Amino acid sequence: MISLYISSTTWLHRIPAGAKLAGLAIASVLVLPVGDWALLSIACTAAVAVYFSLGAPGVARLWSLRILLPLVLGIGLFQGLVMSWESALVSVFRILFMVMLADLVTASTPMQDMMRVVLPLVAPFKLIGLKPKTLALSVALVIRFIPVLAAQWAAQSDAWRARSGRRPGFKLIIPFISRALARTDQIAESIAARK
Amino acid sequence: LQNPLPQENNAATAINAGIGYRDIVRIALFAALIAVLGLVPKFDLPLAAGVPITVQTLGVMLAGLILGARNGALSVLLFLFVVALGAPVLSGGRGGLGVFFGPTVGFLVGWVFGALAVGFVYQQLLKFMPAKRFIAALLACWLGGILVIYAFGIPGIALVTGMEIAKATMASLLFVPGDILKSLLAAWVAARLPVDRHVTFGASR
Repeated sequence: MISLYISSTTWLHRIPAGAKLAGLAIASVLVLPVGDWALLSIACTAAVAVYFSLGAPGVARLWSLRILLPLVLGIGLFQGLVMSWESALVSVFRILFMVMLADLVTASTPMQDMMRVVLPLVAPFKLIGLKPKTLALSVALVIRFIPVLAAQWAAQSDAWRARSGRRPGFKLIIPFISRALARTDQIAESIAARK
Repeated sequence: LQNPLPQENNAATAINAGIGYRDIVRIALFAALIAVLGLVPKFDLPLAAGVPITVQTLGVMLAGLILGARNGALSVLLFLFVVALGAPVLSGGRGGLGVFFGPTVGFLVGWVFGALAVGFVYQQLLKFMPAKRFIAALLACWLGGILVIYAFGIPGIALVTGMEIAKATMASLLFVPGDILKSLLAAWVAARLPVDRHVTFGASR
């Protein structure tokens, strides 16, 4: 399973996961009342500088964020036309800054570390029946299911093609879900038997 | 957690009484299903040229219809948790904490309540019209899968961008035709799925 984590050891990787997440939470609260686009553009420049400080993988990662641009620029254009260009600049820079900041945390924190920080936080939910262990099991199941489901879809559409000679349409969704649900019952029995 | 394994699995039921691994595995399955739907390449809707629509809402609707209100909402929540941990499972390979600060955050939150509403409305409607699964599922998807999701999504856009609600609504309406298509597909799947695979029905077994 591919993750959005960049595996290397930069200065950002060495900061503990908890500190990065806390910093992100504080920044998200502080940035909301800022209404000065110049200030926000400086913040964005600083975030870009952090990406560059991570070396080549950081630059590649920044480049991969370009898929966000159409949406953000669309919002900016719309807002500029119906409201004012100043408010459009503020929201575009604010969105870009927060997205980059959060993405930097994701890029520099392995999934396991993220889990380690989060699991103690869900401990209070024990009262309503959510155990940290259950959450960890569920996350592991999701990550395992994604390639399994993708392979199952491929196998079933191959079978469809072999029988009919045509490409499978969206009708394949029904046997796909049906079989997936049947498999979950087997998996549940296996987990129950192992405990 | 309720919903123990069916009676024929006596050994497993005895071990599993009251734990509900079946629920956990199904919740995880639908979370993964939403992720797999994100791998389906984005297709452009001819009605609103160039507006990318994601099929992931289809998974949200199906989770509510097939797993029921509680488990459906939990599976969306689990999906978002995996996204937050950094898995690139949102459509277009997006993921990580960044998406929770982007303009679509309201829609992501709305998915959880959308699945909850879809499951709840579907189950209520089926009490009145048990034979009309397609109609019941379609109404549930319109109410939960579209109305509720937008009720969270539009304020989300307004909050992140500082846009007025009315203007954010105008911008979001472009996506509604795609959602209507997805609700038709979800209702059709729910109506056609064999009844014994259908947890909404299976729960009363």
